[in-house]
Amino acid sequence: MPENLKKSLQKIWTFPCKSPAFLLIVCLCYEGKLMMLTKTDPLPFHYLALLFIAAVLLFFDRGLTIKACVALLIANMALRDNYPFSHYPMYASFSDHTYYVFVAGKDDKPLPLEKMTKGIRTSKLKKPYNRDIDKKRKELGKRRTRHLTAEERREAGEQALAQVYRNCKPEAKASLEKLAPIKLYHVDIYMVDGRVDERPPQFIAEIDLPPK
Amino acid sequence: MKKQLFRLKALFKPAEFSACELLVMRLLFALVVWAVIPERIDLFEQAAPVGMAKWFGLDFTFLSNPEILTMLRGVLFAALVLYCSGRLLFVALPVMLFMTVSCGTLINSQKAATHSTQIIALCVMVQCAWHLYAAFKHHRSGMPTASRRLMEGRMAVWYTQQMIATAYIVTAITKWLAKGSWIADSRFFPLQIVKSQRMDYYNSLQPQDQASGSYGIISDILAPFALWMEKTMMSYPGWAPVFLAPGFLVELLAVLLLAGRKIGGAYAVILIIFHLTIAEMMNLRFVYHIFVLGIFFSGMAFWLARGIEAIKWPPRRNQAVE
Repeated sequence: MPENLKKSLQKIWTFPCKSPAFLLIVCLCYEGKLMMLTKTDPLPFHYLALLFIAAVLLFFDRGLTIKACVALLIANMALRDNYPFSHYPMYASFSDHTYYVFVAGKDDKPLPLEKMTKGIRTSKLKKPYNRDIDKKRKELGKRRTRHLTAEERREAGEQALAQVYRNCKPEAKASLEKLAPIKLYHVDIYMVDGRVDERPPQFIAEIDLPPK
Repeated sequence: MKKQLFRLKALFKPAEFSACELLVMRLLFALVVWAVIPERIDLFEQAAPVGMAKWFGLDFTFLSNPEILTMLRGVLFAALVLYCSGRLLFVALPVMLFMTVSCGTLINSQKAATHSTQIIALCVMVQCAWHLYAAFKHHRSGMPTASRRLMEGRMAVWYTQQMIATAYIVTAITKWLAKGSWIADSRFFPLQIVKSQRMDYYNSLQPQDQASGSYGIISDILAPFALWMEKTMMSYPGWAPVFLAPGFLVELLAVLLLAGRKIGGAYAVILIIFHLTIAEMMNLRFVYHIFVLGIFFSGMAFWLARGIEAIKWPPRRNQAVE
């Protein structure tokens, strides 16, 4: 082995905190490259390989007292949202558009979802809806979910409403059935010239209860 | 420079908690674990399985059967009593792990990930792993039982502290890697405030002004500050990065939680204030994060233990074999 290479390897061997330093380099290199990190798509193979190298380096990181911290960091970054592990993707990226959804009854008046279902919050309605419209976006090859039409979102809306109903307590199911058909509305919010621009509610879907 | 580095490195080591402090921590953490497990779960499907449900195809919907859940909660209660006593931890912790992970997996397998209880399940997981390892490694070590238990307890807390710090660092890294421009893009953050307030409104149809704060007197104290921040960001979105960048840095540098009791304690207080402000502004209640920071870092256990020791508990600090 050439003397220079031997010296370099020895330096790496004796370098303190090899694995955190390597992880820092990985983060610096990947800044902005993993646009899909917040989604549930599989991570690129080479990124996982680099995390594996960090794990190997951790094994040889003698004298590092926070080894568990680095190991758990690697595990959470690689396994992502698989309970109990998580990479905590909430609010990881922002854009000039977001939206919210709400449920209305047959008379088009909004329903207090958490009160009526005794525990299901609007965020629990939005997340499955968001996941399904994102799937639809990919199927249709559109760049952003905001480019989907109401008709293209309809199926996701129906599924989200049906899921809420299925996971309701029996007494909540009964009170929802009285207000059927229940409807899902979608409200876009944009940032235009530094001002919040909230658009009118858009009807997406309705389902009869119990679903046929 | 080298000397300063060594001094800094020397800070990152397990704290020398007394037996009474460890008992207080176990008691408080047991209460949190008990609170994490719901009395009833009304989820009858795994629409998008995650974790164990995805990897091993396990079906946790049996937890929606109230009788089974009540029975399992009974077993958990017994395990928590054992955990508090500090005996047979290698038996108690797997039960606690099973309960936290199975309930959390079912709740997160509904196409909707929530991020409130992961930190508790992970804390239980690292404690479980450590105590199982310690049970097999140390039982024949010849160390006096009291000293062995004390050492194992301190190490369990040290690994738990590392787990908590990791959760914050991972959050920051994800923000960093997601687009690479989190701080600059945070000028769009006011949209998230509007969104979360509107969604909160449609939970109860109660106007936000009438909604009660989440943390009583603390909410009342922080509300004016949160309201001022919110109004400033809504009126001048360009200022949002100024408010949010420190939050990102606080998460990224959370390794400082491990730099000794004093620095760690002060850092935990900063993180708690950070959570409370977010709770006031966006109705995002990370109560379990606040609980674990309070239990394992804030010094609350220290002062409670001092109170107990002042009454009659004999400290075992000096019996430990380091």
